[in-house]
Amino acid sequence: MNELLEKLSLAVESGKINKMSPYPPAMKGLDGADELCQQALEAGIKPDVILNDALIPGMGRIGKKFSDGKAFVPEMLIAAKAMSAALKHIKPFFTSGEVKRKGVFVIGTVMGDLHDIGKNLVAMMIEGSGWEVVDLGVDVKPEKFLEAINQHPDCVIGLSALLTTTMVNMEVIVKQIRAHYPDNKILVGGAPLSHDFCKKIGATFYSADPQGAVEFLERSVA
Amino acid sequence: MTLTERIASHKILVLDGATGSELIARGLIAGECPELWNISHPEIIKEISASYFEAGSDAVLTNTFGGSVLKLKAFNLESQAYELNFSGAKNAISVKPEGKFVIGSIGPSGLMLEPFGDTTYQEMTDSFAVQVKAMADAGIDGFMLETFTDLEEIKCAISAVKENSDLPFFASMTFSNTPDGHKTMMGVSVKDFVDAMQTANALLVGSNCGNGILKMIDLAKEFRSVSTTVNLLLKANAGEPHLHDRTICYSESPEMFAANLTELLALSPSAVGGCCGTNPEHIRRIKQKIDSV
Repeated sequence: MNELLEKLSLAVESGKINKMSPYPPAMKGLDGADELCQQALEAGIKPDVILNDALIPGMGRIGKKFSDGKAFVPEMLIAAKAMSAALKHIKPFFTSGEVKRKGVFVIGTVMGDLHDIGKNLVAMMIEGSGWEVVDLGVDVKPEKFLEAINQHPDCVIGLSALLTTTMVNMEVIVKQIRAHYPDNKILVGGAPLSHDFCKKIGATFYSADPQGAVEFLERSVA
Repeated sequence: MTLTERIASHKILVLDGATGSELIARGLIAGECPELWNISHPEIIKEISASYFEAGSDAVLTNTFGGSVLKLKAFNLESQAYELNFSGAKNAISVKPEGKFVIGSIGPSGLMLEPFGDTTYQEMTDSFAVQVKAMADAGIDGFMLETFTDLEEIKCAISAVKENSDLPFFASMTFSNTPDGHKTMMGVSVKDFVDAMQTANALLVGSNCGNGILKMIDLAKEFRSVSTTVNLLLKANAGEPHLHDRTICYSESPEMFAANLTELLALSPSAVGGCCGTNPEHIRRIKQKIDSV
């Protein structure tokens, strides 16, 4: 593979945002995802090649390490920051239509719940795998989900909850979505959840980690 | 007897069970600020504390887990932080029998410190300092910094305790199993946690919540493998939550909890209690078991 793309992919995986960034200490003074992505475009590498051969695999590797218990939340957050530093150079090509996104993913923490660390990680990973992410924030009421689905009829929906009190609200939201949009896929996640719970409330898929959600989405567009 | 003397006596301290799931059972709804109940429903908060003392708890935690300024901000209640923590402490103290203890609960902020998030060390420490001052003023016996996952954040809480009170503190983190042993979601190992907390002079070090008593036993073994001398605190939850008739139930009954206590007690904990899903009945069983050993 092109050396520049390899470096860029490693910068994303390692969370090296830009040259100035002190993290990770081992890459001090080296170009980060920001500079390397700019250089790749200047070298004439097509934006979709940069996305598919460098950025997505870089996020994929850190996501895999996370689900294997070999990387943790800080490494994921910093990798996501590096990913967005690179993505800002690619964004104009999304707007122009030169690079196509895989689909739209609408995500939110369900009503009553204000926790967003897990939701943000999933949003970052999914954006980093080539999807457009519409983040509705925390404490999201059913109407807000319905409105977003109305705007993005083919979207996949993601619901997050950390508390045992609020996971019950997932059922309410899933029911309302199903009543209007029976075919949209609904992913659920959060610490107290399980496959059994997902099935009981009528959601489509549960994953214990963000990578599982990314892989599900990959299969759904394959 | 002070809390420090009580721990030094080597008699196991029986802690309480869950507060959150007990509040839900009494009508707290999703999205409500539990700490607000310290002033809106003080009689219920007192009733929960009293039920744990009655079941055999030597120490109960205050209903102030989310009482830090940063956490209350999400409910626009940050200006009431002192009052909510003070009342939380007073509620538990008002039902405390002679010779028992009230421990001020402090949970994580839910925010990330720099450079992974936007919160500065100073903001984090100040946010906990209000809780510490309020509960020290109310007259509690010590603090429990619980369910933390970030070593830097719990260090902010410890600074707040040390700068604003002379009280002892317990330090507890929540772990999951990984291929390289138990780690918190932020990647903190049991060894790094124990080492840092011994340096910081925590009165008790341990874990709460997680996924039931069996997993807590595995985790406690790792604590013991990194230190045979650390004063260990263990508060397991009642297994994984599941949905039954639209309500959340926990898989581990008081009987199941009790049946596994022998193995847990063999690891010589200094303090034992329950977390999410446990109730006074779990505590009664713990008390019975400890008394019978």
